[in-house]
Amino acid sequence: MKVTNKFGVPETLVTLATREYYSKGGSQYSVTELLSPPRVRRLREQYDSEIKTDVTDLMWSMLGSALHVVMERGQTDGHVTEERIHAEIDGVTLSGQIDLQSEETGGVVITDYKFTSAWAVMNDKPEWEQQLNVYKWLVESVKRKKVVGLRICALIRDYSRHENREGYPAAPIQMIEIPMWDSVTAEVYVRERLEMHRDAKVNQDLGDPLPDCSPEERWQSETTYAVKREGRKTAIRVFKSIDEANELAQKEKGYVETRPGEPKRCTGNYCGVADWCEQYQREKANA
Amino acid sequence: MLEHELLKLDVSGFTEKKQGLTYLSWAHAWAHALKADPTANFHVHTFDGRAYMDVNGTGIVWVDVTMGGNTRTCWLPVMNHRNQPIQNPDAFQVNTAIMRCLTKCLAFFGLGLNIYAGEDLPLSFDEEVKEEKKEEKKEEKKKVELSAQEKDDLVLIGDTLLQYLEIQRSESDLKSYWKSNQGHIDKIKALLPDLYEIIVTKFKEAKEKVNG
Repeated sequence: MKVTNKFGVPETLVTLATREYYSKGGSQYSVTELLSPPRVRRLREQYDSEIKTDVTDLMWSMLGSALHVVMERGQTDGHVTEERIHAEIDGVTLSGQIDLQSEETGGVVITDYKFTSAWAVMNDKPEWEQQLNVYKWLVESVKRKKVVGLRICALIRDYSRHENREGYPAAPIQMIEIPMWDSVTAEVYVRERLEMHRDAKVNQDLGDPLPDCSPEERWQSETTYAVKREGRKTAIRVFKSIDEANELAQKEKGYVETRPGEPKRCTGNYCGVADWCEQYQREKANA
Repeated sequence: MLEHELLKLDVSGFTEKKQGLTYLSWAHAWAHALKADPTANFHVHTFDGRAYMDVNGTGIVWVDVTMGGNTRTCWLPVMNHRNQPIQNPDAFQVNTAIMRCLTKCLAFFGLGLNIYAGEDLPLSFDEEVKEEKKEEKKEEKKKVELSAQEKDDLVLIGDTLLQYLEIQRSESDLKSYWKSNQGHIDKIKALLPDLYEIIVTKFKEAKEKVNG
């Protein structure tokens, strides 16, 4: 991956961003990769030397790394920070680096720090549940220690103390309890994900198409229908159902504007490989 | 007498100018020390198992150098590139300080003293990094250089893979066969790319065949 500097930020940050480029500690798969869409992982590997990311897009990732360094300085008895755990499964090495394991009554509690938005804290993030449960599986199967809790320590980057919406976090740091899976469910999940990645690799090696990313993996937003009226800039109301939108449009003597949903991960190139992605390019050409 | 000789020694040819300061690498300094006294030796002090003495969270390393029957001791704080002490130094930073301290201690014997402008003058660690990189490159080269036996083994694995291609009855069988040998195939791809191309071509042909 090439780190660019489009906005002329100090070169120190560029050096840091280049150095901080993700390490998976010598394993074949990191937990992050395991959870990522197989198409994205394959394309990232294939086009690694051509992928360009601007240093400004890596700001939160760099701050995340900075946080890890700071956390290491706050060493506390009974706390294990930044441990990378390796496991062999189906002949493949899987590794995960766990931010914090703390010894508590009955076993270990796993905590992962996330720089995130208030919106993310207020909504379900299934990927957090998946990630932490794979960590739980790693700790239980490799270290033979019982895990009794999974937590996200969310550091809310856009927190505002003036917000009073229902469900809005009460403080800029929020602890979120994550539901725990039993070990069988976690192991089945790990094996399934590994198989998906291994199948994708075979396809790539033999020149066959890669599996498409799912709408969830593409962060597909829903198509909505806005009821509008001539002379008014903003929509009267936005619906998920076209029937409801039509009904209101008739009543208000207005019209319906369709706002197509979009795969935000692809359109924003958050995967980094949208330029080489046949699935996305095909859709764009047909749009 | 040794000091007298070392003081006269011109090491300016082994220095570099950087940001207005003169740098002498530890590797060259030590090479000159060994030339002057092949029995030269050094010792790094440890403090409760650590290679530095803790001073309110920062560290000072201590090195003894023995040359010509004399031992001299030198100390140096573990510093960053701005020559400020580092809180909780990591292994890399401690190692850098030790090598700088060794060079400084050699200056106590006279070696490079003429270019050593003051206690806060950093001595180059660049050379060591370059050397390490060279070593890493050598290691990498070693990894890709196959022994005749390893090459024979990989060729045999490749041949065996192709031999059993015929008995695969469907595309799914073929892919499963590839997947279960992925480790070997990846190794062949990295080390014997020509053989890898042959294997890929044969698999693709077999796939076309089973798909009619």
